Amino acid sequence: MPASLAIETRDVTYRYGSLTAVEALNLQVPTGSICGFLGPNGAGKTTTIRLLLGLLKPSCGTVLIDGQRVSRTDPEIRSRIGALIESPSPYPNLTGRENLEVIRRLLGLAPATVSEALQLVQLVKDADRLVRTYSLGMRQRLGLAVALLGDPKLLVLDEPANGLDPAGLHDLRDLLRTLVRQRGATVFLSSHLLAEVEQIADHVVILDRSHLLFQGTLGEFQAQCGRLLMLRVDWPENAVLLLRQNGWGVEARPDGALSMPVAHASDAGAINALLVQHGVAVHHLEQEQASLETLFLRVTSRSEEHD
Amino acid sequence: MTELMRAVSAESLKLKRTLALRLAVIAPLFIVLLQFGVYMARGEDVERAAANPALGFARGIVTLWTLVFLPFWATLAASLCASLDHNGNHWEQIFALPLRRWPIYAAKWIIVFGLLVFSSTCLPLFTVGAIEILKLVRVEWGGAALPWGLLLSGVSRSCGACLLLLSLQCWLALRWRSFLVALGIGIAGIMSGIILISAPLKFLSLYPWTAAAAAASPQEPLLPLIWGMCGGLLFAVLACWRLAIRERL
Repeated sequence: MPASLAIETRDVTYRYGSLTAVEALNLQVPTGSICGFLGPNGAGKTTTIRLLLGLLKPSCGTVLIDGQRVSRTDPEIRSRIGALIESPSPYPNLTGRENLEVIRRLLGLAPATVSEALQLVQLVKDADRLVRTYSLGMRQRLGLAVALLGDPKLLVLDEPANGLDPAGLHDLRDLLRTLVRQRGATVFLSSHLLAEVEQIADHVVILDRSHLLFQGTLGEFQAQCGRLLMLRVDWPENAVLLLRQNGWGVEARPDGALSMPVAHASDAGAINALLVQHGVAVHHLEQEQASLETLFLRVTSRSEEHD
Repeated sequence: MTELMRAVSAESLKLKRTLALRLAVIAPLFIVLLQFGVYMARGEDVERAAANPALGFARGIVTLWTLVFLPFWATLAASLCASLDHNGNHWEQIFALPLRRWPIYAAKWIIVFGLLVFSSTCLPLFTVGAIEILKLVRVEWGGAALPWGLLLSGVSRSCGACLLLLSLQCWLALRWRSFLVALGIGIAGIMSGIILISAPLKFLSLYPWTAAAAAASPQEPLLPLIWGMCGGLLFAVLACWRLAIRERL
């Protein structure tokens, strides 16, 4: 039985005049997952998030949240979504608690929800200070608290790690994992901090120049992109030339090692044999799992080459 | 309706520690202090001609208030209230909430009108306070009757008549992020109103920036009052609807 989808888009396209921001997007984000939403600047991430939140109406296609169509005029479906949109800039004339109180009043929630949200983001101590005295990280926490008001089942977070220090990042990871584990929430987060996404996400969606490049689990992404082979040889320049002549993409690292993407584990043997046959001694050969950042750069540059 | 009440409650909290809230008291206080200063400086000349000097004192305040200060305060209040959400780009965060848009805009109208009503309530109180002080410092004022009738009827009628102007300014302030658009048009309207003050009363009654002054005058106050209130409400409904269906935030 297929997993239920928290987010689904069917052939969603959005155009700003003659500019196509998102084209024929078919997203599928399973319920209960933490999904990293990646893409270079201008890829269409923010437009996609606005479409998911019903802030924009698709030029064509359908956006579904929990199987229900998102419509700007029907706010009911948005009661399941908590959102943190770009850099949150709370009302500077109000305290952190009062900022949450504004949203609580709008949503008609119980007064206790404000304290609960403050506790979740660990902002209780500074809750009664004016927001204009907050650091960027504290504002980010407050933005998260706003998103958490009303106990949403889906969190759409645009760059939630912006401005957080290492301890803050650690707390954010713990918080999101707890929300998924204990409340069965789904988290859809866009971030430029790929190492952060790698640590927290189990799914990834990659968008590049308005198109979907990949979506699936992190494992599937790594398998699809292949692995990296790391080599140390006695004659790197000659080895690079030889490997390139034989159709391998290879890069010389500053530390003298060579790295090259390989599709299969058996490729390591073939590369070793090729080098030895041509008199290049191999000191070290190791397959390593490329970081999400490396893989991301690889797939986005590949898509650029295709164009 | 519940949504609208919740939105009004949230809007009222947003006003806390803002310039708009302070100006709601400062604007009427300033005009009363201005008139008080004039009377303290050269009051004897003014007082000699009047049977009831307090009436002349209040009439001056009501004229200044309805012709200049009220239109300017409506312009400023609308711009300041709209800028609370324009400045931090809060619209996206608010519209991502499970709420319809029109109550959010309608709440802005109600809050701005609330500020105007509050200032219009303060004005007669400050005026009477100033008259009481003048009675203490000037013996000629001793028996002067308090002009409650002029103050309450003039100020309340002008408050209702300026609803059209307020709706127009609210729409401008919410529609365009730049503070200058609403403020520029508002100031141009006030200046043109002052220049056109000798125009026929019917024109002044229909012109949004002079309707408040026309409603405060004892001659035909009903036309500007009905026009301002009905036109203002109709314009507010249309503007809220138009803003709510807008694609761009």
